[in-house]
Amino acid sequence: MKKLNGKTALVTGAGQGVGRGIALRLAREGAAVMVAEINETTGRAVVAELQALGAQAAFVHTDINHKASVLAAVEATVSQLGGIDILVNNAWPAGSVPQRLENMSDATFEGAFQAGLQSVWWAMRAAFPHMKARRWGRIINMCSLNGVNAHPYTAHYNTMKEGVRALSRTAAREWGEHGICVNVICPAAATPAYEVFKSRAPDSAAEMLKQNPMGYMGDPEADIGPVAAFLASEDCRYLTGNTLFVDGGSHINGVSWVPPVAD
Amino acid sequence: MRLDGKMALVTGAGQGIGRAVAQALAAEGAKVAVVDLQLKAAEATAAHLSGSGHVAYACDVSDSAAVAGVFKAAQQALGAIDILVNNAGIGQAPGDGAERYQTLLTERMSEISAGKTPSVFAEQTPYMEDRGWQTVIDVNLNGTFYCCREALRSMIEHERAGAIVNISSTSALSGEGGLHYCASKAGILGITRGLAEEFGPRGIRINAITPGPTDTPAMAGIPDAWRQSMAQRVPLNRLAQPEEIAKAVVFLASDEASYVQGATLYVNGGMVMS
Repeated sequence: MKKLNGKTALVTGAGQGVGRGIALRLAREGAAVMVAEINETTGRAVVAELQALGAQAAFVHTDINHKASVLAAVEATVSQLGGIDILVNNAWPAGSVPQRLENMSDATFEGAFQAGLQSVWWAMRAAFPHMKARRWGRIINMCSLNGVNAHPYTAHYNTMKEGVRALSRTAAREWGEHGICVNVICPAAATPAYEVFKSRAPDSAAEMLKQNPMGYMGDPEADIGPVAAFLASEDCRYLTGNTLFVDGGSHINGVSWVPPVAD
Repeated sequence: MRLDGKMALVTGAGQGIGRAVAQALAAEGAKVAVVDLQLKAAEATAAHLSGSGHVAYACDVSDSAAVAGVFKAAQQALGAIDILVNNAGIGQAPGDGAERYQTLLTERMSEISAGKTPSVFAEQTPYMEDRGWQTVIDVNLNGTFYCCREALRSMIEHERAGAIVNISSTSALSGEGGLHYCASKAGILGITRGLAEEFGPRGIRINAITPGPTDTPAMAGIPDAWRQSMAQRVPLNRLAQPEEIAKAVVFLASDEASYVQGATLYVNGGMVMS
């Protein structure tokens, strides 16, 4: 029996990495999935993968820097898939470079606020009336141990991700009465973004792996996706406002995430 | 099914959350060793599980020799253990000062309702005798340790990357429910994290759940007004059903949680958030 038969999901940043892994798993569990992605090539490739699994899937070009684009992604999910029961806010703009706090520009911080926190809120607010009408909704926001443990040189990222966690808990309180559960996943996964980090900071990546109790980086589809599918399902109807660390235990004592940075 | 062919042992499975856990594990294909202080209660649970071949044992988990005996018998009957759910627990014990506390609390609440500045303080710890403290620690904390130790010895011997799920409590986080109970349930989170670090390299996963107030026989004696006031503090506006805790146990015990290690899942309707 599939857990998400008849459910519709919007996954942002689903063209690769964790977003793709979650989209694949939700589809395997029977959900219809809207792949929201800025890169049309990877986004459409994932749609084809989902359809090959027999799932209903569609692509919507989404730039989380722009409100109209985020709202259009929610609207496309409702109009093309028939609703939005599950919202996974996973996207984060590519290309942000580690910087010391004192060197970080207003533009970097403001850009992160727009794409990393505002966009999550825009999507949640747009999805809310649809979830409320059905008295059922699941919102999963992707956050990070970087924020929780204050890893250095990514202050913009850390700040917005911790903002998303506060937003998630508040929404869990306010929207609980409508049958909407809001939870957070902090993953550690072998993604293209992680490969970039590993190539730039091989020593730090190796050290992190040693400090990880399970000794490996998670697979986006096999290790992260099922947790998202659980949070998206009826099985988690009494679990709300939580942060789940899906990181092989790395959060227990923390890891030394130290990317190279300019002075 | 998610747990086909797995051998699971659940303590405190004669009623409430433990019974629901045994049912949920069996419904996913596991063979279950149902363990409870009361043999009749354990047998009643085992008799109503999906599938066949389940076994029931009486065991006081605070007795390490008894725990070792039950693990031996259960594994002779069902094979080496894959899943352990440490659920057995008590909230009160003779000599723990709980009755005195209830009296003081009632007096304090009536002063507050009457608009007075309260002169009575609702305290329990000064009236907690050694035996009251010790009994709760023995069952909740030592019992969890003894069962984990037996399960890990077996998993090491049989090279099984099994899973342990420890049932803690929201009291471990919020500080309510009596000092012995809070300390024991917080200690269970320490056991969870310590074992997660130690046994992660073997692929053995150890996680915890902190249920909030749950609609179980153990809660039956609590006055309606108190239940309502607890429900009002939960964003989902109600107590948990035992089955809702059990679903989270199945998740943590299954391969779906293959990369979840040392984590605490707050299945409490949002009463305390992580």
